Amino acid sequence: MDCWHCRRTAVGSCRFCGRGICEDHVQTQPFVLELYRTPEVVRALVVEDALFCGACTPRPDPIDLPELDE
Amino acid sequence: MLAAIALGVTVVGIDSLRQRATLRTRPRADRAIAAALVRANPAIDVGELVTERSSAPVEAPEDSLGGVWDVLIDELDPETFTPKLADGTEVVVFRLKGGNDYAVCARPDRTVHFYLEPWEAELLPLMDGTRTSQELIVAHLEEAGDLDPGAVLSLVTSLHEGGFLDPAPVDVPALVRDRLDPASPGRKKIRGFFKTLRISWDGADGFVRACYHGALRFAFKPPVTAALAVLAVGGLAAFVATVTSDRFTFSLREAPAEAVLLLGLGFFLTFCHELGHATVLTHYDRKVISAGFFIFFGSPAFFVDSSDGLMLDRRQRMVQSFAGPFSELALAGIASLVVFFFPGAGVSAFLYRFAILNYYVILLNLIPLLELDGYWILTDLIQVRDLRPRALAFVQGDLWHKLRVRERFSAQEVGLFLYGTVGLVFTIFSFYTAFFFWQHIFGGIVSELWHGGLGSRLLLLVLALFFAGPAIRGVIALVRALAKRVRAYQERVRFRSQRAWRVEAAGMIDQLPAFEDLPEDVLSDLAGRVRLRSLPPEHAVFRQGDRADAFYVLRKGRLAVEDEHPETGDTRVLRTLEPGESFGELALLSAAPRSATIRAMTDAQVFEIDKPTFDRLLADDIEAPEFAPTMQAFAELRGLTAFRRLTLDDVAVVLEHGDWVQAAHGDILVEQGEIGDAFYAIASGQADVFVDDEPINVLGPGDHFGEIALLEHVPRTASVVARTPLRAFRLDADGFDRVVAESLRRDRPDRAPDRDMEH
Repeated sequence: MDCWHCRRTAVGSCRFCGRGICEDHVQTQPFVLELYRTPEVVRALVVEDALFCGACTPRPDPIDLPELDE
Repeated sequence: MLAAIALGVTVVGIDSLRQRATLRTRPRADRAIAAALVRANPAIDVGELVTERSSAPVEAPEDSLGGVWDVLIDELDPETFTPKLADGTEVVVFRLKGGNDYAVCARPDRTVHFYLEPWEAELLPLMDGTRTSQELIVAHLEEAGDLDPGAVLSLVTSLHEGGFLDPAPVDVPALVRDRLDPASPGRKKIRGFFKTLRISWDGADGFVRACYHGALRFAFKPPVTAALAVLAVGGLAAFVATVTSDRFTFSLREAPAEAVLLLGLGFFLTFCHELGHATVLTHYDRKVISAGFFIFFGSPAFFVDSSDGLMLDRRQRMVQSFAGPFSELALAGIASLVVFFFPGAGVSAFLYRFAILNYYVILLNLIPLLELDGYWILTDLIQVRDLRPRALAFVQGDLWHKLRVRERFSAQEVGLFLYGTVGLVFTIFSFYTAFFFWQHIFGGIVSELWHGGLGSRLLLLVLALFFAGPAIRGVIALVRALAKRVRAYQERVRFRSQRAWRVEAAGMIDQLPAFEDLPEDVLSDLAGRVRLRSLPPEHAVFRQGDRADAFYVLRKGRLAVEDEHPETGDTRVLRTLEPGESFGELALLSAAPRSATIRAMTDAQVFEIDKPTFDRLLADDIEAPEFAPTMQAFAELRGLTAFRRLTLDDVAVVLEHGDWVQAAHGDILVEQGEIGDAFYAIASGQADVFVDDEPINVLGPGDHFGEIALLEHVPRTASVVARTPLRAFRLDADGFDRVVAESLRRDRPDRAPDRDMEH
């Protein structure tokens, strides 16, 4: 796979969108691996430095999907 | 003195280099537009089209995924987002004398403020949670007559991200980063201070309110204000009389302990200055966002973030700006009066120096050449928001261009030139005087520490590094900028040695039949960017199937165009290329792989123009038969009011999805109750608008119709019938939607206030 930005050989792929990224263009971003609810608070298992291409747009805030409530 | 001048030049130099780099940036044309333009269709008969389309069944969009994916797409679509302004959001519109009206809106917690255009402020009351962004686009279209969906969506997005809308966004990655940081809040603050040399306190508003209600509110009673003014003026007169008497000296070289005391009193004065600004904010019921301590060009200082003062009216802002120096003037006045009336008192010599220190700081604050209190008072007085940035930008950019081409200066430009040059000179001068001033005040203590042994020397070094941190950073930035300049100079020397073949390359490209009369600036730019490649015999310039990344002109030798059989690998020579011929442009234009291999038959040299340069400089000028009419169509479309503010990309989309249509008298363009499938912009002729067969309006050149049905997905709300022979541009529903979507990719304007309200 080639880097999305420079077309050189990629060394990884974006955790959020799958684009290829080389070492020069790689970025990191926290990724929420799993969420679980305790009586007090919602807790999260996270990857602190998941690979991020910088080209896609992981939305920082959650969106409502009430259709999935059923 | 040299150090002071160097520091001044550092700051001005860095600023100058930065601004020049910005000025050099040029917008890039997108070659994709050319590809899209070529697909523009000839005009068709509108009557037939309307009949045909109105009878067609309504189908689901081709790209529909169905189920939850459509729900998700809909949820993420900014057009369907329904913005609701958070309760308590404030908006104030400021009307300026010379135009350039603007508005400021404050978040309910008053910690974030945005500058807005007046039309943006008019849209805010419509964001009540009942209208989608699409409907806001319609409202803007109806009000301003501009189809500028990008601007409306950008406003909504900025407000959402800025926390002006309900519900406020939650930045999950930022929360995760914060939770993963093991440092305590105190440690984070200390770490932040060493990184930014600044520490702030968010509870300052409560402290200032307590001070205001405790005592400082009386300062706003006219008799008390008058008494303080008398104290300030009288103190200043007493100070002038003391200075002329030559009774005291300024230097503190022999009294380091007194210098430390004076430094402490200086901090107290700065504190009073900031408290003065903050008290006025409280008096006018605005919020002190934060206060704190920072290192300002090597000098420790307090600050108050009084951005909420942007919501004050002009007079109140001037009062707020003046309150800081006024409080200092009153305190310095008391000191000066004591010195004047009791010159023999033991404390008088110290108070004299204290007064000098204050008047010097007050002077710097009130001179409107630096972005300090005096500047803000002046800009509010003359109602020009960005005087200094504009003046500096003019002095560093346009001024030199105008001098070069000997163009006349307007009165405004003369004003900007005078303000900018005097401002620059004064900036350097103020650094010099500051150095001179602090040297006399603290030269003694520095000397004491230097001669006090290894420990005190180390302490001096640490202090110097701490206070001179910003200056050191500035010097590092300057060295980097200079190194860049040196590299650019080396490049220029190398370029000059290549001038002959570069000029030859530009000349050869200009002679190519595919290009016609390339402008001189394009040729000049090309000459700077072209590369010369030498090829030995049998060496391939590129191979069949390669990605197209350059355009070539053969300078010397002969090249063979070879076709390679995809299965057997056998090659055959299709033709040969002679000097002066070009190749490679078709693959660039069509974004296709190379259709043939180009191989050197003899020693050869080619000029190579890379794809970005080709896209930017040549793609728009290439003379291909299919491009000429579309360029004309492009210009014609931009002439319509509804499309005049669209980006080039958007116009390309519009051309791809629309047609020019002709209508005769009585032709029905749009019929009430139909499903809307297009948007129309009238170029010439007139049309009647009917609602329930009642004429309600007459549309003419520049008007548009049909957007409501497309944006709100409702049947046509009115019928439109050609009153005279009419020519209009018909944009189909898909194209209309794409224009809205494409405009989302544009850069968003910076809405953060440019006024640094940290006093």
